[in-house]
Amino acid sequence: MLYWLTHIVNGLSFGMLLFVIAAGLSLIFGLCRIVNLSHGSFYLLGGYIGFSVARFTGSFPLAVIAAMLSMAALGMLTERYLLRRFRVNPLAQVLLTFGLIFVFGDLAQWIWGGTPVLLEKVPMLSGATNIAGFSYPTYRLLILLIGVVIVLLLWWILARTRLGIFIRAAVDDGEMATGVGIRMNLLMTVTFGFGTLLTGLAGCIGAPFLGVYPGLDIEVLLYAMAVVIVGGLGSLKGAFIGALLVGILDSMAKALWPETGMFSMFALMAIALIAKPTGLFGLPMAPSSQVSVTEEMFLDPAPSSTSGSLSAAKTDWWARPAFAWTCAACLLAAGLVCPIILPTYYVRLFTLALIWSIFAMSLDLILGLGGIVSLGHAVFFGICAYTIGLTALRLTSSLFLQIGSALFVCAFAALVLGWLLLRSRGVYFMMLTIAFSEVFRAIAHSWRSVTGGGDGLAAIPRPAWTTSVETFYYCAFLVCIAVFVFLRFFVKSRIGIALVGIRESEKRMTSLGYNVERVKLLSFVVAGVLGGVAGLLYVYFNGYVSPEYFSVDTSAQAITMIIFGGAGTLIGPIIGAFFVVYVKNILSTVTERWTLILGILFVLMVIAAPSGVVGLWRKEWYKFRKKKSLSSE
Amino acid sequence: MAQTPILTVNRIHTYYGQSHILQGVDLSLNERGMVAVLGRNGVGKTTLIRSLIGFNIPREGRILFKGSDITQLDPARRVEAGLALVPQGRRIFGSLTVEENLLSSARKRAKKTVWDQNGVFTLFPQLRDRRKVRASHLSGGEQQMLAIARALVSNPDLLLLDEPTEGLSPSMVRELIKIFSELEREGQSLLLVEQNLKFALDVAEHVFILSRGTVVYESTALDLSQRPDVQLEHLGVSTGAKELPR
Ligand SMILES: Nc1ncnc2c1ncn2[C@@H]1O[C@H](COP(=O)(O)OP(=O)(O)O)[C@@H](O)[C@H]1O
Ligand SMILES: [Mg+2]
Repeated sequence: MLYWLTHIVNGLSFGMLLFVIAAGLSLIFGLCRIVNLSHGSFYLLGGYIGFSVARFTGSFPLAVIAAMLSMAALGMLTERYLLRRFRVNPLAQVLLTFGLIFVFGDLAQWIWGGTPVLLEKVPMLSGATNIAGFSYPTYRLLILLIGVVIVLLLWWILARTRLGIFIRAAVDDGEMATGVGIRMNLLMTVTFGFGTLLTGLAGCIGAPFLGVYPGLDIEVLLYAMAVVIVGGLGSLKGAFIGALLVGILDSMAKALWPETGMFSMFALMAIALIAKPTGLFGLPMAPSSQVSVTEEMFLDPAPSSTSGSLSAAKTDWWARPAFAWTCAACLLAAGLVCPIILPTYYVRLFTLALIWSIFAMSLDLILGLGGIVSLGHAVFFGICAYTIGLTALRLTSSLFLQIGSALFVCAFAALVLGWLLLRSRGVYFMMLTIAFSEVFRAIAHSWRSVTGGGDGLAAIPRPAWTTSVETFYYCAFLVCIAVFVFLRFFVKSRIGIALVGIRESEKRMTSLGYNVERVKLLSFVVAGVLGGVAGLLYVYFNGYVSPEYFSVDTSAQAITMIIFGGAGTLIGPIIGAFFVVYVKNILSTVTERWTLILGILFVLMVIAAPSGVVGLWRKEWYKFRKKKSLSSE
Repeated sequence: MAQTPILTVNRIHTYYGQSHILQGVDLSLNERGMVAVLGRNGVGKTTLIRSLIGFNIPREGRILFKGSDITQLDPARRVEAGLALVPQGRRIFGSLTVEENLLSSARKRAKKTVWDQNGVFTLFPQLRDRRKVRASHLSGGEQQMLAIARALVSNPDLLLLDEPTEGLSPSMVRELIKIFSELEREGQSLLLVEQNLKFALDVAEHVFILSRGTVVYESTALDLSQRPDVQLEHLGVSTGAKELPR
């Protein structure tokens, strides 16, 4: 009895903490129509700042105030100087907040180091309190109290003040709100800052019992997203009920099944999705809140090379198919001779780049071509890798069986996840993909007896030939070309054309008689399996698997590659993969702050060149050709 | 005789992406009274209104309001300067109550007649009874009243109206005619865009006709009512020549 009561109180207080976090997320979403994926990072920074201030001044209340104010300021600066410029492009906004995860996370690690810190509780609060014959930790009760106060405060602001009226009016119809004189820009900045203030507060008051450590940002993000996936975005009631559900379930499940408790999170989100894709109390997804695909960001996979006045240039040598074929042949030849002429070190590097190329291409199939922005493609990479690891260690030494079962498991997972996730759209889909990949990572982390926990699976037996660098290079090279050729055919097939059509307008494709759901699901499965192919090559290349394969870092690297190269093309992700792998390699010899640089690079790419190298190239190319065709007239 | 115009629209060009909707619109409105801009469905009347309130910024041309250039201002600043909008489709805030809708836009301003909540409730008695009701639960006619009331309580110098009669019953339309006449009498300036020729001729003093993105005709309402040829050519309907309005 006492045991369960304790867990319920723990769950309730964790739920209240989650509510404070999710309320901020929900408020920001309702008004700005974006999901702040860096919300967990504000939590983390709030915790660290609270820790430092408490250590410096010795005062816990001061620490809380400092955490709140600093996070509010950081949030307002982020909104004002990064997000505001992309008001018409919510996808760019969400990707920016995604990039900020890595910037903030790595900065925090730089400043506060990699070891967990624990904020000291006020002595008065560290004891236990007796209520009705049972004793509870006082601090947990305090958290409950703070949660209740914030619920009431938020309710009062929204229901009873003029600011609340402005916020609700703006949530109803943002454009019309400006038309009655509400200063939306200011309101959005203030609301964003208020949302991050709440998270900062949570970070600081959560620190005494959760601790503060690198990676907590993503963990908190996962819980916050689970809350809004269950309760719905943009609704305080949803955030409240979702938070209590997630809090209690999580603490019960972890007590009952320490290793596999995370499955409960998976099940909860899956059930919520099946019952209602926008959560129990979520705002309906108005067309304006869907992450819309902008031409600027996604390129046409096969642009009509000549249009209108440009046709004069057709006779130029660079426009002929023969030129393209010559280029392809040169690249192919270069790829074939490179192990012969280059040192082993570079051959290994190129092998890695080839594997990443496959992974990035597979993601670009749904992201760039289909406009289905998955931020959790690493799931397939990890699933395939773990299946290989497990079958190789425990079941069979047959390469054929290992690969066969890995691809089968991967395809099956893609089918189930696709069936579940594709019910949602836009920002919900993006959140779900992150959330599910993180759940997989958490399971891989905690299910020690099967997955090996945080150490992963090491010393995976590999066929002898894979240990030869050159052979493995050629193998990766072949697979990469095969995937490229396959995707090229896929893009030009009926399904590929339908997929691009869906990206432009789902409604139109439905009215043209396409089965939109099926096209999306099929593409999702194809992308998943090809992503798995990259994962299995990676295992044979490295000989070990770790939960990090599932992490958002893995997905983020692929997205960086795609955005760097140019989304919606096949060559773009390859260019991006070689660039990122090469730069990462150079930088890792100089600095440990690779993640920070990746994050900054990501943010800069989204701001400055969202259509990537291929996009820039095409733009310059058209300009050049236009000039040429004009001067020849 | 020569008044300074309250609003001058100077050759504005407004686009949606690539489509060029307003192609050099010129307008000028004097203080006091109602001016109507007429035009068929799809000629760009709403686009004109959206350019005036600032939802769409024209790529070329200038908009002068009370002598100052507002072309680049955002909507909230224009409302501050004294514009108010009754949009097409009403666009009241459905999850707010009637009273909260009025609070969302209320602002004080030095003027002869000042509209406050009480004032608009006197003008629209039905709304007073339903002040605590969620706006989404109002009938179409009540929503239109609320949209007008919401604009009035910001005490605008110029009220923009986009097809206020759309979807209303004939008796509601008669009611609106009365209300607009009263507002005019009190010295409120109004700019109406309409397809409903008869209604516009009933309430407006001066009319412009918009066609294919430009102003093609301008006269007093009285003159237009006697030009069935113009009505037919640009609006596709005619009220007949003999009957004089009012
Ligand atoms: N958001 C939009 N995007 C693209 N075109 C639009 C948009 N809104 C209106 N249009 C086009 O602009 C033209 C003028 O529309 P509108 O100003 O609403 O006309 P009116 O109010 O006179 O009926 C129409 O041809 C319409 O199709
Ligand atoms: Mg219209």
